[in-house]
Amino acid sequence: MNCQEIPKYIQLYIDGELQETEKQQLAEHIECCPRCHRLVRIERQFKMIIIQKTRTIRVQAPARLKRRIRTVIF
Amino acid sequence: MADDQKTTELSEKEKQQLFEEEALPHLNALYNYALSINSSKQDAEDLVQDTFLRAYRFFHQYTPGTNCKAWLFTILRNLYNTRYKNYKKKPGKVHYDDYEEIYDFIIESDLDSSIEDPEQEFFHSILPEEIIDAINELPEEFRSVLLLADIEDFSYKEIAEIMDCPIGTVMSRLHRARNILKKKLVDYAEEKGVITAESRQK
Repeated sequence: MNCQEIPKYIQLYIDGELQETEKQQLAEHIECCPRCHRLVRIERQFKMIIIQKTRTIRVQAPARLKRRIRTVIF
Repeated sequence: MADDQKTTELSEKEKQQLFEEEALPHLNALYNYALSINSSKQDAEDLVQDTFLRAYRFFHQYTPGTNCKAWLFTILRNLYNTRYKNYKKKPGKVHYDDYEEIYDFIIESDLDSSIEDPEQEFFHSILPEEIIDAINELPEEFRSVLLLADIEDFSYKEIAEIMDCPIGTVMSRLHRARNILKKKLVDYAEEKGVITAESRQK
């Protein structure tokens, strides 16, 4: 895997969707290429920031909804 | 109860118990997702309630021990599509830049920097409300794919089933959604002075 190929694999890599062989090839490349290593790190940080900051506004379903569902179903 | 026991063989009481154990724990996830694709809390609540009603009615089709969360999300999405069929639009044509163009200013400008992790300042300057605003402004199909992947942690295959689209579409929507978000967040950072237009041009 070379620097030109890396961008198209980054998304799959950080989402855990790469096949084992490709994963290994990408890992080997970024180990010795600071620029691609940085691209991967930025993309992963971006994903983490989305997850962390979105979680802070996650809400609990209203208790009345839970009651309503139980009443209607059971 | 054995995992491989078919739900059709269950008594009503066992069915209720299994539903309580496997389906109802996903209420919060479904509710949060429903909120993100509906314009009002009431619509979100109705959609979630209808999802559970349908799930219970068709619970015989569910195999205990398989991914109940993905199954429930698929039902919710089907209901949403049916309900809003008349209003449903194809995702808008969004102009987005390539990955490299968006982040080049960070990468090139700081590559030789002695700072260990120069992106940190940029990432930490992002406020939760800025992320939420940027996500909410995404076309619905893009927003859904992003939330299903990053927040609900579904695989591409599961998202493809939930959204009823090919895996390739999931991948391209996710890629586009993230690029649009990055661009917006870079704009916010620039407005706040965390990064400058000059550094962006580098």
